[in-house]
Amino acid sequence: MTVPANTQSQHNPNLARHVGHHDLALPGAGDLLHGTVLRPPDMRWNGHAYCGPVLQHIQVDPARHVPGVVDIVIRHNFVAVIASQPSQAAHARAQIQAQWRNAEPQRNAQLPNAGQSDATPPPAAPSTTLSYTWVNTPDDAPVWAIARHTSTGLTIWASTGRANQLRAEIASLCGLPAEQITLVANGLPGEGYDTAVDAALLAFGRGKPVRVQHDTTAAPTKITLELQADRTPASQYIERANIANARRPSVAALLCGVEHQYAGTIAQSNALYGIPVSQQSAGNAYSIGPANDTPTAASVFARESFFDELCALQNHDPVQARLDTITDPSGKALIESVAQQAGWFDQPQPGAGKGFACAQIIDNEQDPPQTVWSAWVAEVAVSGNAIDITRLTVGHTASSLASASDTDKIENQVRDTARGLLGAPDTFDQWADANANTAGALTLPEVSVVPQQSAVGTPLAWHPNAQLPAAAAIANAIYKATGTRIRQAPFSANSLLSSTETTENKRNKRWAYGLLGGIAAGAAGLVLTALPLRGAIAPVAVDTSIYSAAAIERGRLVALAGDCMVCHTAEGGIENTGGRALDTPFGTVYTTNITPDPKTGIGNWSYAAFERAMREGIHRDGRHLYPVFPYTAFAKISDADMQSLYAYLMTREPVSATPPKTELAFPYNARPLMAGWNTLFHKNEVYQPDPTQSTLWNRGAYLVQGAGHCTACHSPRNSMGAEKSGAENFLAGGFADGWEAPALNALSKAPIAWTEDTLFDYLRTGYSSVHGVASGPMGPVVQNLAQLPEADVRAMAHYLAAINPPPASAEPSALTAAKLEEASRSNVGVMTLPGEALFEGACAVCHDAREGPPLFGARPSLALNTNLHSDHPDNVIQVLMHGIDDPTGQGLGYMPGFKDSLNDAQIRELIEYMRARFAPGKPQWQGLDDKISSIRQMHGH
Amino acid sequence: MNKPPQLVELNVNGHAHHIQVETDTPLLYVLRNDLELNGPKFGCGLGECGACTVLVDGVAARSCVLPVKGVVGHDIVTLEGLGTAAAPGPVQQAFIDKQAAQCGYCLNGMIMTIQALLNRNPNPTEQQIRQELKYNLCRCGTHVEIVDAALEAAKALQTTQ
Repeated sequence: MTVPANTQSQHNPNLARHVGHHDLALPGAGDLLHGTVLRPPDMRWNGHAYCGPVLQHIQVDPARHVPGVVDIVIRHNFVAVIASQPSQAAHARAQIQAQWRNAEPQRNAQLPNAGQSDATPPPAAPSTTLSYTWVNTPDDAPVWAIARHTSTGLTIWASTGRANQLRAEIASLCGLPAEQITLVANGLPGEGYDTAVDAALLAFGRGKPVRVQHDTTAAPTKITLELQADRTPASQYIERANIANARRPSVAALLCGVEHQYAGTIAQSNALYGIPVSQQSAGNAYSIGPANDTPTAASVFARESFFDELCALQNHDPVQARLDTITDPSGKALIESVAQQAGWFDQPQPGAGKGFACAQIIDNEQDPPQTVWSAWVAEVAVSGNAIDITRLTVGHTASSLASASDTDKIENQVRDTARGLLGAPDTFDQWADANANTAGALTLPEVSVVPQQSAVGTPLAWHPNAQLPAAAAIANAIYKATGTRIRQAPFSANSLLSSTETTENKRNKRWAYGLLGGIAAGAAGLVLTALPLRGAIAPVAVDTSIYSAAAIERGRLVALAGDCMVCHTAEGGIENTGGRALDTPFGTVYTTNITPDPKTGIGNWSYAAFERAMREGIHRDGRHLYPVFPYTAFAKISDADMQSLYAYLMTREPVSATPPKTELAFPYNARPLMAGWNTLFHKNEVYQPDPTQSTLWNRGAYLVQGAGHCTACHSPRNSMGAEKSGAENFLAGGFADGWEAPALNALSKAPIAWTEDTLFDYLRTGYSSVHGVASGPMGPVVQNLAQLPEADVRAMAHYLAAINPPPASAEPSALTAAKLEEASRSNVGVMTLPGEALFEGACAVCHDAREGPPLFGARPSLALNTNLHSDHPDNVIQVLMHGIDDPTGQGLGYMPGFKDSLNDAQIRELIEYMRARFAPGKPQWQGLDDKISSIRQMHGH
Repeated sequence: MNKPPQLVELNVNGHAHHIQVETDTPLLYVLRNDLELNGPKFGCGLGECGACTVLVDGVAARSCVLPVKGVVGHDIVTLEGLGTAAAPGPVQQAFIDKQAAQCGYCLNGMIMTIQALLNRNPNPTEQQIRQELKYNLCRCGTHVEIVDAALEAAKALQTTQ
């Protein structure tokens, strides 16, 4: 279908039974519908209206057929799916084929109040251009909103700092009087403006409440500042940004064609720099950035860093330069008193540096507009390899203040602001879960708050806009201390490391890792001396009280990523007590008890013994471990993660349990032979990030190659049981536990190429609509991945997609999928095969693309299934025999096993039919009978 | 492999039920054995015949192959949720009026599947009804009456709105 403008979809009359409620209690989970939006690529606006790609053609019929889909809403360029469950909505969104056409290029994007100041110009200076970046870190908690429309009005549960604008915007979009819009705070920390409008649009005219959750992270804000000094008649600054430093309407409103109508924005005063600041867009238009105050923070960071750089170029003292330039008496007085309290003009200690930044923020959304002056002096110290913020001196004056609070509270806020700027997860071994990050364990800076000038002494108060200069003050201080200029904020351990790198060993140069301090140092020494001996490491009594909650939580994530509990737990057994039988070509290996029980587990293993086992495959008593325990991958785990994993495992409940003993036949029972194996096949090296790749890529590579030990199953092994070396064998497919682990590299047989998004869906939920369901040994892996921070699974998907060649054809995958489906539907040649009747009876109700009712749950398309296109029938036989246990319990991927209702001959006929129908280009599999009878004997997963 | 039972909350016919159950148990067993809702029938046990059909979030589901863990937090409706013997729902009434039964074992699935179709499409064609019922098996041969009943139910629902 082609889109008519302003299609308000019909809602289902059967759903109208809830009309009439008007209470503020959150609707129950069983009552909710779930919405998800399909955004255009590269959204832009020009300060007034949307000017990005527009819908040219959209095909939504395949999405409508996804079970659970209630409606698809299209309004101008706003496209959304509503379904009974979020996963169904996301699944349907992937089936929408939308073609976007770039709008006519716009010129001269002009912000609503991008004024120019009329201050007098300073003396001419050489022209300078520099660029700054502000990275938008994802919110810790996902942002969601729920909206419900009844006869009495529209109620929206959301969080926003701009309630009045939100209400006005929703009222105008829905054509309701503003007093019929009720906003209820849902208590989330993030800015939920966009989410709230999405939910309101989807719930409007529908009998049921709709919940919308957003999972996207906004692109970084990039700002280029130019000083044009040789212009006539006067010098000026030109600020070019990709994201507008101005309030915008919601994304939904822009996509619906609404024009900007707010006069008010929060902005930095342009009068602060003595000469005019002209704001422009970096391209033809602005990208649509986050709905919060990030663009203002980015602008203050860029301008204050730039001013500091100009001062350095011209040998001006930055504070003195401000005092000379600024005419506003209250700003001048504030800067003077902050500088005095910070001892600005004193000589700094060697190895230390002070940085200054200030801002005059005008909030035009308030009536009358509110002005906040703030000034920061940050002091940093470089000691050894670490940079520490040692002292912060902060002052502000506001024309109107929030309620007064005590000094301690404000000092804590200042500290939190500074630490928040340092905590962005940006190294390959840093976890996206904020609770598991240990970078916060910095020395706390000393904070002095300069009392507000108008109110002498206490009580003090704190205005949130006063924190905006913090990033620039810290960057300026780091420059003073090290001579290195950091032009990207919030800062990361990585950016500081690479900026301050000298000739010293990089691995020793870990900034901000005080986490397990003494232990780490001690352990490293022990391992080095233990290395050549290969002897026993004496049992010790381990003191677990020294581990912080953050370290244990981090260790839990490492354990989840490493699937420790999957192998070290017997079927139906207690977690981590071992006893699971692992079938290898050399015999059966039983996993061991890794609970901290001193007698039967690892309770008396020192960290040194643990680390040696993990990195070198040597038991505490000196015995060699078999490489079915993937120490070859675990060796890549970083020190901080390894220590955290130890902290986690040693703080679990000890359980006394002795698993069966592993006894392999000669010669494999001769464990010392493993020493030779290790020399040949094992490299004991911690993962080293590839500096030419992004942090996301490195993070993914680290998880895939290290803790995740993906290659253990997905890489082919040689006759000695070692993963084959060479780039072409990396993730080229292997076998484990009677299942084929498909190739993840260029050898992949998937009929539709894997992309980052489909890999993410599959790893996160166990299901991708264009590939199928995770089953067999992959099921528990997905179960664990579902508990990892989303950003970490995203990183793995990003890396795995990057090692795949780009798809050969430019055809969108939704279209390829539709073609393959159609081919399997009209494949008449197979209809006379004996398997047709079996398929119709046993499989078709859930899997037939020809016809039938949409049933609850996923309806995996067999035409797109990798297993049916593989060179090996093993996984198809496994699934037919033993069924599929839904790995994440979302009700999407459960299938019964047919072991007890179909005999070997029937299974063979069925498989021959399915291969012919769904993988028509592939030859029939050979040796099916043998495989079927041997897999029948195996236990299911 | 036996996993320990867990306490789960199931929302069935508008009521919350708390049940101690091993979460891989098929929903059908919980409905019939624990909640004594005998509308859904055990037929093939493999999701093939449709006798066990219930609605989950308004969509037809084969409760004999759907584990309990897959429906926690969803709205489940069984035949009992559509009406009572004294006051049958519109689809049930249409099946009575058209005498669309012989042995009756498949009827639960037929009625629930038609209800799901009408939730989605209030005005289906005869062809769409036949498509929808394609995988609901009936051995007695009341197909013609069942299709008549479905058309009748659609009509009844249209006029009541």
